[in-house]
Amino acid sequence: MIWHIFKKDLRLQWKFVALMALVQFANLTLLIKISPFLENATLRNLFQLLFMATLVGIPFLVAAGVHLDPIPGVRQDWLVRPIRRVDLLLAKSLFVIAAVHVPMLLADLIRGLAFGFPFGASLEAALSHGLFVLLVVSLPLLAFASLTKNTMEAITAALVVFLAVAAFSLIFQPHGNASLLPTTGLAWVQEAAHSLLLIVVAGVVLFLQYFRRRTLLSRGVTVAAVVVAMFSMYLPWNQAFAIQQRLSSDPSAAASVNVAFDPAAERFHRSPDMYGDEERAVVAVPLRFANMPDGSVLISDRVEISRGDTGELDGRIGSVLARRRTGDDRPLSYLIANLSADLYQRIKDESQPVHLKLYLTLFRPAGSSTVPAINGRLHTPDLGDCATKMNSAETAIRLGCVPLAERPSCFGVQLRVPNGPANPEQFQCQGDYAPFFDAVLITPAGSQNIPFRDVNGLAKYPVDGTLLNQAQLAIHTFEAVDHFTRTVEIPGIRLRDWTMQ
Amino acid sequence: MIQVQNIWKKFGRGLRSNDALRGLTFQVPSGSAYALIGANGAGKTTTIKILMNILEPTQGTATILGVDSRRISPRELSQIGYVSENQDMPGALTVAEYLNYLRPFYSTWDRALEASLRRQLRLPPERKIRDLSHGMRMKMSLACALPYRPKLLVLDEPFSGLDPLVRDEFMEELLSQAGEMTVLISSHELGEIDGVATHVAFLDEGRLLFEESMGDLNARFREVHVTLEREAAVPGNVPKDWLYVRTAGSVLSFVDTRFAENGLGDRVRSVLNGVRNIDTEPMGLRSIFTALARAARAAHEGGLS
Repeated sequence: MIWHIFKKDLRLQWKFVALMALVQFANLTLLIKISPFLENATLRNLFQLLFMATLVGIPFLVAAGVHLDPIPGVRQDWLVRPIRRVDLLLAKSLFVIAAVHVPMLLADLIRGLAFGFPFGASLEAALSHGLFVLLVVSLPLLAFASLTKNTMEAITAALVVFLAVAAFSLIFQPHGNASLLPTTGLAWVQEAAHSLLLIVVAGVVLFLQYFRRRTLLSRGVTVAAVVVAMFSMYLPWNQAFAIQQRLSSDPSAAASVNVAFDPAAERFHRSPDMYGDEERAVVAVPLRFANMPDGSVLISDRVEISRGDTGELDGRIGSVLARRRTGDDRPLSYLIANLSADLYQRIKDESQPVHLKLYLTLFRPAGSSTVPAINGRLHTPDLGDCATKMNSAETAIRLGCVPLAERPSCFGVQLRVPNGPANPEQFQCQGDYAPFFDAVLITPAGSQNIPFRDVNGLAKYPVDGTLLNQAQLAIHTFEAVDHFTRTVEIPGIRLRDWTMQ
Repeated sequence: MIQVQNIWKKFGRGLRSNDALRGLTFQVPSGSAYALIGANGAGKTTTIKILMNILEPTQGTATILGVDSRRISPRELSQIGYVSENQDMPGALTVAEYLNYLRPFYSTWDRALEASLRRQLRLPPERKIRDLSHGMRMKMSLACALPYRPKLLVLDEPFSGLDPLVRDEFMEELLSQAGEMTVLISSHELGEIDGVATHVAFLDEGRLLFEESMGDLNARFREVHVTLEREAAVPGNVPKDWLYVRTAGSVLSFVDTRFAENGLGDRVRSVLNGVRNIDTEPMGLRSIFTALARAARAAHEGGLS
């Protein structure tokens, strides 16, 4: 009877289902149109609008399907009909798959094919995205809707949950040594914990609702889960990093890497976009990295600093990025640390020992490609469908790439002339170590600006506008292979000496 | 067919809790037309919802078609017809669409009977359920409950809010299809039940005051008028089986709940002196219900004071 119930639901909701499918396909069309450079503001805004409509519409569509045979209440006709509860649940699940996931799968598949990816890879990406959304979004929505009788009740309940979470977040912001996972590449650990919680709770609620009709208990379970989810903001950093370390694809890759303070290094000269203000002071501590594998990149996911015995500077301040290039065995990099102006004024002239703890990730080269700098086109499995063009101010080359799932979280782009001059490599290395594609809805990928001319004349580029016709962009992608920690003891340091100039 | 054993149902918690049913026990024999009667809030609908596993009892057990009501499965539900004034059918479907939807769930669905019911009850097939009047919706509910020839038909306040014409059509169709079916009907529309019920159970504030066959009930209840030789006054020692005792001039009237043709005179004379004449009248279900309800209320108020 699953199919029979499903057909009834579809007959009653086909207009809504068709509308949402239309919105998804319109969104896809716009995504294809505006990618990769997102230049048409009207289309971009329309995309945003439809994106929001999809985000809002899908929960309503799921709820509409569930509320055709609501669980809470004592007046529903289905309760007195010979309908197996398991059939009802499966029929509702089928409705969600047909109404939400089939259009989504088709849209994802068409997107992959439209951007030149092979059918197999496109289908695989579409299926994995669909599975993620099914487990982490649709299933919990189905469970949530089953707790309410109608749309108004569902909206009210969602509003209550939203306000509770917002109030909690305001009152209990993570502080001290608590985790700040969401701002790092380890954000996925918290997301995975939330997702797991969502899946388990959704399963429990669906069981209780469809097989026991225990709405009060189910609502209690849901409230408890929301509370647990809110407290998971305090997921300890060390535990999250330990999980990440266990997942390292090559756990010994960074075994011999050393980090040391280099007092002989030159003071860091700030770039125009780095500045202190009345609230904070920026200090750049020179660190020398040794024994990095050839061509590798290191980034810090977190840096903890404590000063002397007081631990006064304790906190997660600053970040560092180092690249081992040919001919540079011990790359120098600066830990850029932001200190509060008060603290800085108090201690800037004191010479005290400082203890650094660095949580680091080693990236290994994963691939490299080149593309003509002007109106070039490139297709690679990791970067996806890429195009280049000059920006409207004629100061930079724009590189736009549409990946099948997520673009590499670490890559470098260099403007160069083959066998000729080259501009400094630009790095996008923010780190995202999620072992799965965790986007609910796919948004357009942003584009990259690679400058070749400074309108103020402060910077000179070896490859400037005159060489662009011969120039190409060299793109190096990297993959995270090892996560590890290092400590650096600095016997005595006066912060004033390392303030950025 | 149905056995209810010491059922309790509590709604709410703490000080605001309310015992809707208090140790209810009764049996519905196969083939009977069993009427649950009682004032609004007596617990009739709660009892039926427990039997249908829509609500769970707080305590006690109920079996229906030999199965614990908490374990009632599609197999039992396919043999039970349920008609209620509080039944939410999918309003967006038309009459025909909903009947089409229900049909495959019942292996015994009789399409000819369905067509006949639709015709007899004058249900417009293309009309959406949400556009049906209350009376039409009740008829629709009946049309959805009968075509599979259920063994048990449960009717929860089926006449509530129906105009006399619709009520007659409803009853006519129900009686014509009843056959061997067991019927459990809850109502406070006693006039409608009077000619239909074979058994009756009277509920008051969640308790069963009595359960009896209609024959026995009609036999033991009488309106009695005693004409005395002098001005009548209510005696101090009124027997417990006399209800609603009142006087008018030299006549004392009461409802005898233990009527027996032979012993009535002796029983009356043992309580009253100077009896000149005794008249008795058979009572309808409505009058019996009214007398019992008054007595129950008086007992309740007496208990409170």
